[in-house]
Amino acid sequence: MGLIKYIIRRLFTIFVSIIVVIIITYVLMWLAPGDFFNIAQFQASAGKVATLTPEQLQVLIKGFEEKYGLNVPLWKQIWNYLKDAFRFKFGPSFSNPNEPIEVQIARRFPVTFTLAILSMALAVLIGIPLGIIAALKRNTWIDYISMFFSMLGSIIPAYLIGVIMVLVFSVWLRWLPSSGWESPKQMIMPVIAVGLGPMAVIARFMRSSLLDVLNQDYIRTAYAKGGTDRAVIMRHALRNSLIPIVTIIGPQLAFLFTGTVWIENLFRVPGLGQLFVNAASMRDYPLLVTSTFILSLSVMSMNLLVDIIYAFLDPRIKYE
Amino acid sequence: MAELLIVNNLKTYFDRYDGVVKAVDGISYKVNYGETLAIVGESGSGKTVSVLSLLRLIKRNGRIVDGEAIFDGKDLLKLNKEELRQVRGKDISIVFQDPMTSLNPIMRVGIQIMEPILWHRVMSDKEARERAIELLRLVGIPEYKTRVWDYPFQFSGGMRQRVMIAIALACNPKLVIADEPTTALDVTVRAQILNLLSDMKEEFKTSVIFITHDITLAMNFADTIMVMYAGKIAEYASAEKFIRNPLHPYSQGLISSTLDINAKEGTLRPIPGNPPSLVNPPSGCRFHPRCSYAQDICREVEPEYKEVEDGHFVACHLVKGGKFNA
Amino acid sequence: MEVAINRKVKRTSYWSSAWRRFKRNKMAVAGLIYIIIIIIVSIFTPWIAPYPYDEPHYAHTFEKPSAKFWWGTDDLGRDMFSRNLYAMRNALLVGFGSQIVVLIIGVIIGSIAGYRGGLVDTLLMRITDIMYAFPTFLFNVILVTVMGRGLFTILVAVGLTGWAGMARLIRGMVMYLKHAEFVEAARALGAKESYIIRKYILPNMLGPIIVSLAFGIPNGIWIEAGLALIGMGVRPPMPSWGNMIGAGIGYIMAFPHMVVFPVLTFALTLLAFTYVGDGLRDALNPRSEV
Repeated sequence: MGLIKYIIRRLFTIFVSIIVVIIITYVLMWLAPGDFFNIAQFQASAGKVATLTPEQLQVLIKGFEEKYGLNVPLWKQIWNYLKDAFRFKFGPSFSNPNEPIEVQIARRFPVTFTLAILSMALAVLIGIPLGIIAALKRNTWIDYISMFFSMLGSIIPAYLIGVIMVLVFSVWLRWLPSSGWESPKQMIMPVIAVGLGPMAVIARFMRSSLLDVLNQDYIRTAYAKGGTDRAVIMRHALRNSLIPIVTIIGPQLAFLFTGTVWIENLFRVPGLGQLFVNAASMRDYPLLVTSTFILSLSVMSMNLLVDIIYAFLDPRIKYE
Repeated sequence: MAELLIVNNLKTYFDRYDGVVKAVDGISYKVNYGETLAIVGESGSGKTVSVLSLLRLIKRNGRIVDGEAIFDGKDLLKLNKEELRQVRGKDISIVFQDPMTSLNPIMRVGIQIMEPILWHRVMSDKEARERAIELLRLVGIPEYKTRVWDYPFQFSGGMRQRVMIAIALACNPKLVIADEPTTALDVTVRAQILNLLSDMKEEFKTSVIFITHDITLAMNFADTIMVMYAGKIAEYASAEKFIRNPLHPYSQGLISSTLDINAKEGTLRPIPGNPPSLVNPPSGCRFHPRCSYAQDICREVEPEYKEVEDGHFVACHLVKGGKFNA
Repeated sequence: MEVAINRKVKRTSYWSSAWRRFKRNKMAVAGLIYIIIIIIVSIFTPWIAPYPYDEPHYAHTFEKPSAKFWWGTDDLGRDMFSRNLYAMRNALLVGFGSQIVVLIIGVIIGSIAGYRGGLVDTLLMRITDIMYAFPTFLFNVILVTVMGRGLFTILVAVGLTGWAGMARLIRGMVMYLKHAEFVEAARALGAKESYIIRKYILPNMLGPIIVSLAFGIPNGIWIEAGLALIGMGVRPPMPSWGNMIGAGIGYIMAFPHMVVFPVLTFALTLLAFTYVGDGLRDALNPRSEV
């Protein structure tokens, strides 16, 4: 059936894209000035100060290289990595050699996932009704106010929203804690900070989609058949205007995942985003590549899921 | 009473950024039971707006400024929302011009036909479904039993138009308004649709208001012809009288601008000029800038719309005693 | 002679009517005024700023706003107002600079893809699609990790991650240029190609490109600040809104002024650019209504 073929085609594209992403990342690492690993970092993590003789340093470096498989040419490194990557085995990280990366990821993934899902739920469950109301009450004060706030929400980056929220709710009002991820109270601000941006975008898009649909001829036909406002809006307008929303949810999800990177940093949430940032600042390349891999994979799979849902909703797609 | 619909001095204006568009500026006519009225005019003449006003389906920036439309004893323009809703689709229904965009693309055709039936509580669910299938058969859709569950994009243009007709007939309305039902279709399909409409007319004795820009179509198909120009009625007469004696220069122009196989070469005469602005219509008779017979009085004074022979109305200074005097 | 008359008419109709439409949008005009002001301020920052951005005053750390230090001082006693000015300047440099990079890369790739078509086009477009799918911020972080932290590298990194949309637009324009029938017709009538391009192609194609650049500037600004916030931005003591906020967060309960001012100026700047972008989009695309 058309749908199955479509899914297979998309999975293939994702597969190829991820590989390209990994290769690019690897090559970039390799191009970085200096060695593949940062000597200072290594020394710091090994607890040694720069009092080694050049020979001792060489031995240390060789051991390091062997341990991390860095003494083979680049393409082989990439190949080794990829081989195991798709079985979700990533080897040890530079900074924490005792804990295999996949374990760290397994521990952190649920956290980021929860944050993402909650934020997305917020964005959709509030954004869509907001957009609908703004459209139905077009050009009234409700419309102007909600669209103004939507505009703010869509421009101001997630971390800025996070900071402003901390300023207002932690510093000034002292209602909410400013970090942590254990109690529901701690979760409120991170979720809102991540979800507000997508919510704003969804609300604006919903409004314009609904207004678009309401201008269509078939709405006039529905009224001409004797439909009540309620019947026309619920049976014709809403269904038709919700379908395009699904198309923007995909990109919003991607945006959302990048939002988690900062927000986890800001609110000290122990998720993948935090892992990524730590890896980048410490030049922990295996970790960096892997967290990129996982984050990209999540984003692309979410996009695929969204596209499948879209195919289900719009009967015209099925027959193509 | 033989009159199903009496329209008096209907005026519908639209508010636009550059002024008020007087789309319909005082028209009066009537439709009897079982009669077919053709409203003829160019685009911008106000023909579509005039019928949309009856059911108040005009765009948001439009308002009905004056007039009455007495249908079955009640003034349509004074009905409240719920009363109007009950008329729409049940007593009066509309077949819109563009079947591509007038059907909901993601809703099955059968459901769209069932909607007016269910909304007006004419029948039960099951009966409504059977009626939808029956209607598809009536309008000539092949394999109607299965196609009733298809989506609009699976039908061709002509068949979609038939579906629109089926929807219009669903509750057996007294009046069907067809807005250029064949304009968006191929010539070959056109004849089929028109035949369908006459069959429906014969069988159910419905009155029909038929909008078109094609004067020949009107002359062949209608009992009565009403020619509109720039928001006003130019001429109104039974088809018979009209064909025998078209009085208004515009009507004459329309007729002579059509293609006639039998005509001699060089007799194709389009009407010069363009339709006028409805924000600032021409002074006097609105047709005068394009009329080859225009006199001073045409430029200054608006002609009165009056009955010049039995049942034949015209708005032209040059018509006296049932004759056109150039 | 006729051509000269046409030229006058065409010139006044598209661009000046776009300007008229833009002027009607009050928020966009306000945004534009704000942007012009901050650009001027940024150019003259070294002369306007009361203190150098890295001059510490150890006797006056964590001070609230006062006559001496208008916006207070930070943990090293540095003047917040001056630091803010420099941060704004850096942000604008990255914002505008990154778009120049985007334009260059986008034009190169887009024109090659559009002009050559065929396999080259498909290949380049596949690459563009992958760029679209990849979360840009992650890529930015990686690029900065690799290229090093600095104003210029950040600017280039943002450009490297943001060229996809521009490439698409340029490609569309070039393809249109190639095949447009009226180009053939006008050429047949003897009109010079540059005239055709100037009068017909450019107005239609330039619009989306200008709008894309306009929205790209705030994009660059928030990426720069975002990078700084997680410690991947410009190196201290060079200030950035991101690292000022990042540093201030730790003291936010006791000394909120360290965060409030950067947040306000940052938000205002983003808003201004966005309003201007919206205004440009509506002005250059006369058919948008809702």
